[in-house]
Amino acid sequence: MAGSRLERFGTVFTRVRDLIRSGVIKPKEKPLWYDVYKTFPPMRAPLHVEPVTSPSAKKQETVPEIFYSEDKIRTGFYEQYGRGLRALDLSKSNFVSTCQRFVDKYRELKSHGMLDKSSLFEETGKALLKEGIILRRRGAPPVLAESRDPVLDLKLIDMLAEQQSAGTDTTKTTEDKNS
Amino acid sequence: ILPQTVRNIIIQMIFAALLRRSPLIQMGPAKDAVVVGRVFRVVRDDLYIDFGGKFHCVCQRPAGADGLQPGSRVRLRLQDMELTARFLGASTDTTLLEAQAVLLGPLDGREHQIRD
Repeated sequence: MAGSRLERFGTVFTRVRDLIRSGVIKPKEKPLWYDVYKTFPPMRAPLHVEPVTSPSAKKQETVPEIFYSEDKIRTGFYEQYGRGLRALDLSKSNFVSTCQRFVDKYRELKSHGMLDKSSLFEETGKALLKEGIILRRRGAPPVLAESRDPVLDLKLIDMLAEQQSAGTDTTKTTEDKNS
Repeated sequence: ILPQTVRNIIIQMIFAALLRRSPLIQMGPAKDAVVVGRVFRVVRDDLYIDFGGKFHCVCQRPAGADGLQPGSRVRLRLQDMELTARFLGASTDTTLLEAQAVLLGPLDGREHQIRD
């Protein structure tokens, strides 16, 4: 007890007082603050108090998620337009991505207060297109597939036309045969 | 009381404000995000690329891309910001201290698609 340096046993004053009483610290080696502390002790003795570790207190120590109000707008944007065409530069702290411009435009239009929630999304998309930012919808076929589709369509139409004409011919022949 | 202009400047410098407007938060989840990276080390066919995230990523040099040297900027599709996994019998995850990304190609300079 006397020789403990652990700050949890009593206070520093009680430890030094007991060391002096037992003779480990000579009166000559008394610390400077000892007499001052003795004459003017603090209002609260600096005893170490164990923090309460009840199970409910421990659950609250988990780090909370960081969510902002504009995250809702961002999720909507990413769902509809997928990942932007423009690569993000994470090293620039003042970088404004396509998504951020969308968010800013959305908030600007919302502050005007003229549009309701359902049309705000489309209106922001249109507004950005006006400014020259290309927004490609997610799930939209890439350019190559688009060029192929009309060719396929034509073939189908031709095939259908051929089938129809072939069908009329066969019915005619069958009618002839029957009659 | 400080004038409004000075207060605006101070608010812009507060970490919480900087974080909120940072490209990291704008990016959202890292999966499939397209980012710009910079090659900082080359070991034969391995390119060590820093994209400004917590860790760098290591990508294989694609065939015919001998022009990619330390300092060249590339486009990446991020898969994971930090490769971690918890192995059987471990109490915490083991981390590789690396991100995972797919190398899309060099930065062409056509990143400015905004026609102002």
